[in-house]
Amino acid sequence: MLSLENFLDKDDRRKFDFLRLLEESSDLTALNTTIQAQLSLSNFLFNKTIEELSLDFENYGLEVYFAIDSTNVQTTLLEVGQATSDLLLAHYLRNSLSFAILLALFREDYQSANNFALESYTSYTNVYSHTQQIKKLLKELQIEVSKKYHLAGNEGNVRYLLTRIFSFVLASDTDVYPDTYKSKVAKIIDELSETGISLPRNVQTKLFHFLAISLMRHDKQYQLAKKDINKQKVLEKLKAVYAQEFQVIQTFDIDPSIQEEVLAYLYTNGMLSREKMKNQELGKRINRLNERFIQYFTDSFHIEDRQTQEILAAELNRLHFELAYFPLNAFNSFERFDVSFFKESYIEYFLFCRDYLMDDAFVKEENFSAYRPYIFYKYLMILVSHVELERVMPQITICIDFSFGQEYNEFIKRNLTFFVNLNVAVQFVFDESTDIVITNLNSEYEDLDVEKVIWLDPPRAIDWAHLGNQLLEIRAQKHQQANV
Amino acid sequence: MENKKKIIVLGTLVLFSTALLLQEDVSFANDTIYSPVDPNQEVKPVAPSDVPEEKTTESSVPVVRTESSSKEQPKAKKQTPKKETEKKTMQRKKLYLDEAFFTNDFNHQAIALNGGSSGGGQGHSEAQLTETLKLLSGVAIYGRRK
Repeated sequence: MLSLENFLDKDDRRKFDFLRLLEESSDLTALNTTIQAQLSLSNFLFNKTIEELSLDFENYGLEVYFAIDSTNVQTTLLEVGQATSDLLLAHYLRNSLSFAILLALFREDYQSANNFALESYTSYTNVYSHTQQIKKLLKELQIEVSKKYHLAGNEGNVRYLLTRIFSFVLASDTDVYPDTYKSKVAKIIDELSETGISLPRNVQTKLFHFLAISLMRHDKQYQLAKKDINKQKVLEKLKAVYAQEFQVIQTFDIDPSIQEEVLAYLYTNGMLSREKMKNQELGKRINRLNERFIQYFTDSFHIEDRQTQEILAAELNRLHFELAYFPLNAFNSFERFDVSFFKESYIEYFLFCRDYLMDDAFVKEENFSAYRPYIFYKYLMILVSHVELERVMPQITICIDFSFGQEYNEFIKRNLTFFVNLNVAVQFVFDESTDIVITNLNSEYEDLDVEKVIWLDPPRAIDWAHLGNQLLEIRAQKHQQANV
Repeated sequence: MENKKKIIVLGTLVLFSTALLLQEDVSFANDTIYSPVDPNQEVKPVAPSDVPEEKTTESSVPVVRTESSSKEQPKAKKQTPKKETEKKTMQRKKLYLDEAFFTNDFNHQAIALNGGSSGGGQGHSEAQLTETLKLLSGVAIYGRRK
């Protein structure tokens, strides 16, 4: 929902987009004309961007990770797989005026644009325009910048937004927080892991920022909005389900409202037992959302067994709780998440989730518009991980028949586990269920009306590619037949 | 000292005079331009439009002998390596979860599962699966390396 690159200046944005375009191109190479067209760069800007990028790599010590090689036809990114463009983005943000202003707003030492300009050795107009731009971005999240240049408005959003930005830009560098807060938060995280709730690195870092920000905001007298009764009920229920875990959290010397937030954080990040959540009802709104989704799901796929529905309900509980009451992770940006793999391999779920979320009235009514990409991705993940593909699509049967003996056939079969996402079954004797034959015998299956790929031994890359293409075609046919 | 000064003075003189001489060679266009076909007709110059893209496509496309492609196929038919580079740098169609993704006017072509049929024209990008297979052959799965 929140694209961090929106905080970049025009020049940095151009350089970042350039790097990302290359990074996402096949073979990390793109035609110069393509790049120029996509980023609308003139020849001059194109060359300038490459020069500036190389300089930036040097300045930020990134030349060990990236280099750009450009001929007059195409441009290639050389990289060693130790960094992505996110690293450059973090550096740009960290050195940007926007970030400095945001940090000052958070610390509340921004007095006026004039003052800030003097302190940061830049012009008044520069600071003023950046401040205006930030105000605009914040306004979309119902966050206001008060006359005294303090962050106000939707307090939850203030904390989520700052957590999102600080954990991305600063990562494990926590020097922006005063020492008292740092040691307090570190102690809490230590105690959590001592009591058996151990957190992955990224969950831990984010929790650190979230807690430090929450505590500082709390001490400055910013309160989370008064909870409505529904939210209170849901939180009580959550505390009851995870009573043991909440007991630990309650020993922390922090405000009860923040204790609840810690529990919500652990729950939404999947750090608490799945089993305990089975057959639990958190609240009316969450239930309604769960049921609506499951109903739509059963109607589309005719999967009605209790077990699947229970598992789905438990997973949906978490997602819908998150969306309604603790959307911290939904602040991550999913707009640039390329989902074409899922379209290829999980077309049924892919289309289902998209259809489900295309109901504009529903999305608006639930206030989900801003989170739509995130929800799509989450729904898709829930289905992919909890409903086996063979339940919604017919199998593809592959017959393997080589002239090198049964061991060889078995060996090829093992290599086909690669197609785990395509729901394939393997046989060694041809019958009417066979969809495709893999063989090295040119004429053996000539008289039969069946798809086949003839392989050279050992198979070349192109042989595998042919098989892949044929399988996808069969997959598409089966999908179409099932939906006629 | 004297000599040096003289040299400097002379040098500057020479420089200035050449500059003046050269400048005389430059003839500026008159305000009015007449058609060479019909000298009575006045011609208005067309304002130069700055559309650099056109120029670059012209100048860059025919030059395909980049180091990488010429290395692969030293003396093959000239057509093939060109196709290769074009295909290589072909932008894979990406599917992003932007606002348009959830609307009906989203390009249905992009959403429909049209299989990995490689038969399409040059514009058709290869399925992700196929591309991955090619890379993994001989590395993670049995076969020869690409």
